[in-house]
Amino acid sequence: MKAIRNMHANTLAALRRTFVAALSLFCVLTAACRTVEAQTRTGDAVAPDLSIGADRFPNDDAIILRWEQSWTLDADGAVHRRDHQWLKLLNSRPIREVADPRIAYNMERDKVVIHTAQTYLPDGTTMPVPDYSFNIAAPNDVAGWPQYAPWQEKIVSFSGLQDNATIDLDYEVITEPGVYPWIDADLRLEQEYPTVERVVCVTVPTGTTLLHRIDNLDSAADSPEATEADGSTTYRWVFRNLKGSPHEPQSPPWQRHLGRLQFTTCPSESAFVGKIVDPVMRAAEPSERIAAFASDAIADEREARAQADKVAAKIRETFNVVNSPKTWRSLQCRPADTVLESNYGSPLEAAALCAAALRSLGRNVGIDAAFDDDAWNSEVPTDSALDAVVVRLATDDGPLYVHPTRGVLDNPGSWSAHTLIGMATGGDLQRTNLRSRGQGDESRINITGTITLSPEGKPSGELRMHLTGGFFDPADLRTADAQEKLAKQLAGRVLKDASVESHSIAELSANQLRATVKISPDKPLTAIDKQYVVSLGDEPVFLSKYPLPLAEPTRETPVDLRGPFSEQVDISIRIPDGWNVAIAPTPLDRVEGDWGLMQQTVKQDGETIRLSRTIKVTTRVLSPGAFAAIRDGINMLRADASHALFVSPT
Amino acid sequence: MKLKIAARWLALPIAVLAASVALAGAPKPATPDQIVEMIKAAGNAEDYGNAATVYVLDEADVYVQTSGLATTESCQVEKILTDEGVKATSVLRLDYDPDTYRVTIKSVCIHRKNGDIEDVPLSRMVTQPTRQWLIFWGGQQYVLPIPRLQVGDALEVRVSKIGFNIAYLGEQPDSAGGAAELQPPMPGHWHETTLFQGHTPIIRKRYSVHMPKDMPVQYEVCNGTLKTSLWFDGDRHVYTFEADDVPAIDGEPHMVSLDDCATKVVMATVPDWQTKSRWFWQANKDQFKADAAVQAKVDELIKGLKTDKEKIAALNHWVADNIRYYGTSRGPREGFTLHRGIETYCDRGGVCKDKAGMLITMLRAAGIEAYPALTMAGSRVEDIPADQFNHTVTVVRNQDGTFDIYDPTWIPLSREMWSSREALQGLVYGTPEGQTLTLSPYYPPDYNLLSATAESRIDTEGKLATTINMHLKGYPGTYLRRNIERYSKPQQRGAIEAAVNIAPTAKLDDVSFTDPYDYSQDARIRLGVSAARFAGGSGDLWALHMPLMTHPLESWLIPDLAYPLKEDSRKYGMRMRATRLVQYDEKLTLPDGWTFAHVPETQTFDSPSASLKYSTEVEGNTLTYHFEFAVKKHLIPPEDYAQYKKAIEMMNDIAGDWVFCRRGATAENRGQQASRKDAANQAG
Repeated sequence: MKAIRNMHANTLAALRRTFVAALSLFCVLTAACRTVEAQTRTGDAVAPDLSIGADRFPNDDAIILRWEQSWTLDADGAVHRRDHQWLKLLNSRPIREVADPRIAYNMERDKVVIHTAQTYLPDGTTMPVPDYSFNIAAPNDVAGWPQYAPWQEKIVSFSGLQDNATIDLDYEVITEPGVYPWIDADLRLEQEYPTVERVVCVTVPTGTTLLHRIDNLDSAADSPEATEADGSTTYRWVFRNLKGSPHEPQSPPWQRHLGRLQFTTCPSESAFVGKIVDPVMRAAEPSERIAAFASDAIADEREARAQADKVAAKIRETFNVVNSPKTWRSLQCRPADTVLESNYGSPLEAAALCAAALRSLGRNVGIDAAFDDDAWNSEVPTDSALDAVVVRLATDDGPLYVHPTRGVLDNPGSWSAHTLIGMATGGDLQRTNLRSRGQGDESRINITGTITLSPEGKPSGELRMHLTGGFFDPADLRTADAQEKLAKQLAGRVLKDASVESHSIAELSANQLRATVKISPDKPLTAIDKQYVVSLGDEPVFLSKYPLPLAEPTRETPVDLRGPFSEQVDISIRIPDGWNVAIAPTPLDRVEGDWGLMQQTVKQDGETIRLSRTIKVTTRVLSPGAFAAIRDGINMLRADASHALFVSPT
Repeated sequence: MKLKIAARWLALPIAVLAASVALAGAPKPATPDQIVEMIKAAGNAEDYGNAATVYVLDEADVYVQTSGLATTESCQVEKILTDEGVKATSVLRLDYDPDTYRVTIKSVCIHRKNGDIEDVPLSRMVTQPTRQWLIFWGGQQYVLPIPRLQVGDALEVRVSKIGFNIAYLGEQPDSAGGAAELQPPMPGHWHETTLFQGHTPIIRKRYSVHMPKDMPVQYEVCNGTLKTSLWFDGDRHVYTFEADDVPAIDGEPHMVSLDDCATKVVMATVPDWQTKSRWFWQANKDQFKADAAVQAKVDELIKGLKTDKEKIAALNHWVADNIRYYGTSRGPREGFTLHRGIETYCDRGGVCKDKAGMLITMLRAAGIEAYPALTMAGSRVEDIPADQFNHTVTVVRNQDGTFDIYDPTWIPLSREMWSSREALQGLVYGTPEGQTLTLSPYYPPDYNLLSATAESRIDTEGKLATTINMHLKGYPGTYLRRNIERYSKPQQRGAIEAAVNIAPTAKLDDVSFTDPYDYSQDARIRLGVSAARFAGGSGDLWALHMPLMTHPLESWLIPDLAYPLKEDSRKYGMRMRATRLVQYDEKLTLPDGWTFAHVPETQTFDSPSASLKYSTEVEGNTLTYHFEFAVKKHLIPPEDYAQYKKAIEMMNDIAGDWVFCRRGATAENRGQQASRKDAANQAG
């Protein structure tokens, strides 16, 4: 991983000497490109080798032969974003996904230029996209909301698609000055299909800071080529032979394991955060309407945390949050009163409404931006990492963080890993890491108990449960019904046909849950041919909270977990005197690796059968090899033979 | 709920009732005072099963012109009952299609709970394109922000609409949005289908059609009853349909279309289906001329084929697999005009009508008499000859004058020529002489066959090794082809193993299958599967399930047989994907010295919608059984549901039952086996 900050003119001079030859070639190509369209700022519009195909990529459905992207920031603040891609179809499978690309733009401030839209047919001839195949639609994520009506999508439907045809689309979106405070991007370099060549260019007025960073690519150039011309500096990255990365369930977020390029002209993290939180804070002014809304939401509640939860609940239940970057990318925020009157708004506006409502109740609030930990990089802040804006509520016990629709955020909580950043008094950044439950320390689930079978084949007894970390969330267990439901679910996962008579909660805190479940002897177990079937669940208990993609036999990417965990189940079954154990669950010999261990033992001691199962996974990310070992072991434990006990009277 | 509503109506002020009396003659729109009183009397969420909103009033007056053009003046009053209703009513959205119909929002006002009435300024309305997916025909939407509502408020919306549900412009629309240039697709004719029930409760709904008195109209009320009346009103006849206190339809899983269960009125001025048929042919007959490129492709595809059936199959499959589904508009006549075949050929794409047109063009180029046909996928076509269609297909007139139907839209990666999912579906063929409404064929269960045989062995460690051969016809064959082809070649084997479903430990040792694109034969797949710990136990007793009864590849081939059937009864029909016959024949062999101590017993069951046969035979260490499950109807009516559910439960019980195996056969075991075999033979 390399991070390069503040690349200014001095550095460029050195780079210029290094890349004279490349620069000359680049200038020639760029100049040639500019003849295509006045707005064009870059693009090596040389058609790639169209003969590359299934011979070289026999296992792929399509190939990106070349993909050129450029961002240009003019001195007046106008932004040009150009995208030129040649995608070759090796069979018909990808057609639905790639045949009708959509170009999103805001008709009030963007201009769209289609430079090229054509299909290279297998015989080498080209078929331009006909006029009737350029159409306009509303973007799905903001359609139907008046404030975002200027957002549209130009849909380009390609003709003549067939095996070995190549889609060639070159378009540019030009945004007028003053819309975006900076240009930035967070690019996934390794796509679903392999890429023969990918070129990324960023052109900014010379002297403008450009922060950039590449991750997860062993072979990538550490630094871009940099060239100066006409008062602008262009940074250029070229990537070749990027592998395809098909989707697999439960892979880590792409930012953690696939080639990634980030850049921004935003000079610092504090500038970035300030641009987000300042307009929200300004918009969060209470009004008569907001006071009435808040008062209605909280009813008679006086306690700060409960008030915040009730305000958030009212927003969640009656207000529409339009959660799309299109709604906030320009970082505009309407006044809270206007937002409430319209009854819909962006995540920023929802936060402003929440803050204004709490203010109207006399509460002291601030605003924090919430970034996804997998996407956020303080060295190169990009807006794609922004996940929400939350309200920081001051209380005598310290700050509470209030998500506009989720309510007060527990730490750790069910909202997965986020970093909250706000501005403290004096302008310093104030940072809070929100961990998801089970993200750090090992989460445990222990279930122990003794079940006694009556001579009529009716089970009774107690199961004791101890859960920590990611195996429960106190926020979900605030009602007796919710607690009972969880207790019954867990009992059913170790004694499938159990009838729960009662349950008691010995401890329910942020750290642990201790409960006891009493099994009712009200109905006999299923009997087949004089054999009573005691089904000790269908599968290990942990899978309800830590699911694994157990069906897929092969794996290329790692498997992402919420965190390390362990399961310990110890169940004793007592059968009546004189009864026999016809079939006992099959043990699992200890399986161990750098990922952890698993084991199941089954012992009979007179009329008592003891099943003990231990599963321990010590890492948050499982390599494909580790997952293969775990998959085999867990699937063994899921087999009928591993959890079925048959007993019978003599 | 009914009683509460009745009580509320009794509570209406006498003045309102008196006003109703004064309305003798054709029913008239509600007055503002009546609307206010209706809102007051409308009750709250508890009266409507906690519905988010209720339509206090939903009324429309349709003025039909002799040209067939119609203007609809409507008024809807929706009362907000819950927070969910507040959230859902933040914006008023009205779709329109510049090429077929226009809408004008005439007024919107809010009746506040305290009695205040606020006008919503229409100046804040914006226009934007609609969302579009696969069909890019330029739909538009008016979007009007509504000031935040409170529970107890009501929204009154008055809209004027001109055009047709399916109507078309003769010329490009003028800038003023006037109606002068609007032309119905069938000049001089009008039709409409109006539902009187939906997912929101309705207190009062009225629908009045003002017809020129010399313009006859046919109508039928379907799926229920309505209050109907016909009044003379000067030079018009006013047909009115009314309903009060209509509850919301509570959806049921996999239920039939709303059109097939909600009370509705179907109206049309077209005299008969033959007229519709002739019109459809006339409107499209010039679209099917081939050029040299199309002719060359046809010649290439049918080269060496001798019979028309072979040629039709080759061309149908080529269109299905090579013309991708997407829609672009050619302007005013788009909705009912098939694109020219030569254009679709260049685009290598089109919607259903364009794919049908491509096939017609190619068939005609091959010397085969082909026509377009209208159909309704997913719901019934009522007998009234109103336009009730959403799909276009191809028909071929045979030399004996009969017709065969072909659907290139629904048969990509299918050996079928017409999808068996479209059984008993209303069709109108478009021909020069005109055809009446007809139905697509019924497909008996064995048309959609999943036949599997398995040779299975358990080794001394309890590990299963089985070889399964599947022969698939019709729908299951289609879905094997499509599911395999969903994955790229390197992923296919893993995808099959993930779907195989026999046991958590199942591993695919070998697999082979027919080429998904080979339509010369039924689809077949051979699976070699092993599964450790398939038999549980130790010592002298094992327990296991019958391997083939785990339904290998169930999620691919027969997912609808796994629909959860929680309800004991249903109000509405259930739509299966198709009829079906599932046949399993398995031979399960234990290691030497082991015998079967318990196996599921022979069972049979028959009912109008489903049947089951299961018989078993034990011979030494070998169990053989035959299982058959038939789904006889693809639409299971409510009255058949309980027995269908029973059949499914019997199947699941057989699959879930334990088979016990014992080492060392005793004389008693052998005697039990023999008697079981006799019983099975007798049952068989």
